[in-house]
Amino acid sequence: MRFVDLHTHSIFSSGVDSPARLLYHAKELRIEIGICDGIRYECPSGVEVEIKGKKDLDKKVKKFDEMDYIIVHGGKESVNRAAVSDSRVGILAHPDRGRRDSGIDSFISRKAAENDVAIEVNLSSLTSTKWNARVYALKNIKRNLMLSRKYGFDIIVSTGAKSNLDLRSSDVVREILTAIGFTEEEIKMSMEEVPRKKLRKT
Amino acid sequence: MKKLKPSLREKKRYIAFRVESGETYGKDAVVREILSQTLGFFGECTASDFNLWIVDFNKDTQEGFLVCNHKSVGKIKACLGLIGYIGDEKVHLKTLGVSGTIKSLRRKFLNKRPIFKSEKKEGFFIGKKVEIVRSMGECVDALPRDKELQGRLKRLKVKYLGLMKNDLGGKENAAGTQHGI
Repeated sequence: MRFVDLHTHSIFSSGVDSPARLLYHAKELRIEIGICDGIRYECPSGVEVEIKGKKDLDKKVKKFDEMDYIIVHGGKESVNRAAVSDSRVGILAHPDRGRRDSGIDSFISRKAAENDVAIEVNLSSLTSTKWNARVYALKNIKRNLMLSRKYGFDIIVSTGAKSNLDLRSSDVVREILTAIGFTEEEIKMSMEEVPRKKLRKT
Repeated sequence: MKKLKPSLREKKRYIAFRVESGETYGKDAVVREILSQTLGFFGECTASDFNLWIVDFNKDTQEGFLVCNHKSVGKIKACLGLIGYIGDEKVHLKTLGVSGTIKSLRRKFLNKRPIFKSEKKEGFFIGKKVEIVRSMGECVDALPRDKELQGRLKRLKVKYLGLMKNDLGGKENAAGTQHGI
């Protein structure tokens, strides 16, 4: 199993490493990465858009139409809803950002399954937190996993890396997901098959 | 105390790891972080089954190894992967490999990579002046002069910009293109 991490940023968006440096470390860790700078590279290239609502999403999706995949920067309920209602969106990133709850309800779950939008499990919510904050992050991941089992939407795992220090190898990610409670089949889907499906879609 | 029979003794595994960061850490800081991470994530009761012991850590190479029960290798790997910061600095505790004996662990996984060497040069990256601080092979770590990038480093708690030698140019505007690769 090879980890395909589609949510990374280089210095040209919000990261601190050059794209070449990120790719060097990805090769060292034996993982594949996609860089979300809104710039086309030789590796899978996507974009993470911050939107205010549905109209804004439509404008930005048209603007970045040529990218391999589109990630929506989630968090607000209206943004989460708008993102999962558009089948051109590939991934809804960190739907629980800045929230106590997981950011996913039954409506969003149904829409995500219908429009084939993957919901992200962002490992930075675990690596950058401790104690209480991590307990909430874990609770949200487990809740989204439960909803995914019920409604059938895809879960995708990524690191949200902004530096080479954020990247993680395949076996480390697999062990983290096992500890959280993912089954072997779910780990394979969220680490490799769903990201590859998102890339094939384009 | 009398030794247990070999069949009753615990099967050990040695895990080699490297701390990757802009800072240099001593054994104490690394041990403290690994133990607090293990206790925090799995709790005292589960962590007691791991038989975890950080055996050695080399401050110069930032590599070390720990010993644990053969059944808890996966959980220890997860704990090492979950460490994102030591103190106020972003780190990556990279698992280098697992072995049954210290001898083979040292032979296979430790001291295999050259360490970063200090440098003091100036260069340009996308037309912005950077101060090259250290390098290892093709990798270059640099400090930006640009205020926006300095703020970004501070916000992300990363010490240096991560660049490659190809990204750098000698003159302003001769440096790596926006496409980088």
